[in-house]
Amino acid sequence: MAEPVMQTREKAFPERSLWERITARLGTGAAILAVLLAAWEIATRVLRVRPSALPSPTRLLLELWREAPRLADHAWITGSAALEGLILATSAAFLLASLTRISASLHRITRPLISLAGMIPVIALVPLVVLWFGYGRSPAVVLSFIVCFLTVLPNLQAGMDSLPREVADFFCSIRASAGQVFWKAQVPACLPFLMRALKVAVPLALAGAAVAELIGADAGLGHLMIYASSRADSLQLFTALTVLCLMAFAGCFVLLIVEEIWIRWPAEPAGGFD
Amino acid sequence: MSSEPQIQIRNVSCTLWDGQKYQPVFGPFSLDVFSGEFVSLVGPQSCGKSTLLKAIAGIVPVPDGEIRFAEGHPSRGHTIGLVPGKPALLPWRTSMANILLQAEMEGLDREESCRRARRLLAWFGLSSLENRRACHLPPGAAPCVAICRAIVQNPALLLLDEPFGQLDPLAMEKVLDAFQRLWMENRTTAILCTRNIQGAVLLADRVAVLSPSPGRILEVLTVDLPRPRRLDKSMTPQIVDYCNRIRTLFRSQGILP
Repeated sequence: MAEPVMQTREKAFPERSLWERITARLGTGAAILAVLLAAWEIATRVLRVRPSALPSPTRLLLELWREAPRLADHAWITGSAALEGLILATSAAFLLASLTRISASLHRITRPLISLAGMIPVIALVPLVVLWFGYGRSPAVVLSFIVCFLTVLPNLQAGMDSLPREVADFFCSIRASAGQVFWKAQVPACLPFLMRALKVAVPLALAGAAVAELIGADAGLGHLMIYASSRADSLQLFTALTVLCLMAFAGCFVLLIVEEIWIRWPAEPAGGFD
Repeated sequence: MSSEPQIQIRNVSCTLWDGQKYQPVFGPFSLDVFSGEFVSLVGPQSCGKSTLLKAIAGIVPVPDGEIRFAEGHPSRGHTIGLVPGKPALLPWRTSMANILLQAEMEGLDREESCRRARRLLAWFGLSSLENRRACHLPPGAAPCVAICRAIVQNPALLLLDEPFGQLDPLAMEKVLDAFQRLWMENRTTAILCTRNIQGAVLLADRVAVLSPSPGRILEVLTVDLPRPRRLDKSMTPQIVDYCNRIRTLFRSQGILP
């Protein structure tokens, strides 16, 4: 065998551990958040802000601890509705994106409709959704579905269209079937786009569910917020809001872990070079 | 090499719609490629080399003329090995998985394919990158993995579209040498499209020099040098001589000053 052409040096291109990669992505944001929380705490004490107007982070933390069981119940209601809407929306978006990939006519018909739908303020749909689907859990699921679908679909379509010409030529040269190209190339190519969309969709799903609960439910974090607002209870309002934010962060953190473990390739496949 | 051409390209030309009218891309173009022969097509950018290669691979249709294959058109995937201009590796797959993609899709013997793939990676010194994802490969490795992917199934025809263009000059010289020695083991019929005159002469039995767009053959030079060809004291003057003949043709077309 001939002498090796390229002496690859593993040490020159070390792979960072999962923990190092996550720390690199979150470290700066976490540090800034810590600074902001500290500034908030100091400001409320120094400026003697009324707790009813703006509770300090420590008061929030104590209230979270005290009301944990009750908040968990409401969080479960909102979270489960948002998750259901997100899963349904992602599945529907994947199906429609795949169909529009196959049928150019369908793509031409649906594209302006989707763009138009995206222009409608979602919050304006709440009364209509409550009217059509009644009170309770359904409006939260439907609203989450709408906001997630309109976020995920364009990203999936962009991902499936992102396959470089050279990759398509290669598959053509080996006489790959359309199904093989779809499952082996287009679906993996759109996964980074999907992750990007989901990181936006998760907070939107929670917001959508909470907004629906403002007028269309008697439980959930949205209902808790509107109830606290009607009683001018800013501590409970901030507590519910904090739980909502923590859930959104947890959802995005899970997506980050999934991305760092399984989907570590760029959104636009380049061919191996930097 | 046998006497009958493996590929006969007869009066092939191609035009493309540029939004306003049909523009000629290349042709008319006629060339015979014999079994076991290495032919380089060297020409300036946009003269139609890549389009011709894609026409031979069956990726684009041939509107005018004919491309005839001695054993019928390669309808099964593993009879053509294509190395595209950009490596076009699937970034979510490892080097090994990229090389085995064809075997996976055609249901070929996985063990044998793995064995061949490992040998090819070792040939290019990339054994340690076998399980590295393509998006994390170091610079210079991707073209080699793309070449391994193209030749792992011993194709009947190897089509290379500027495969070394993304390498720096030193790496290119090493990879050219390794590729040449690898090709000499099987002597697969190969067609290389390149703008690198020296690379074309180093690898090819014949060099077809193309004019600017629409590309036509100016001349076909037979490179009568022993193999393996190296840029060393004994061979460099002769290689330079062939390169100068190609440069003279380019000068006559105004491609070079």
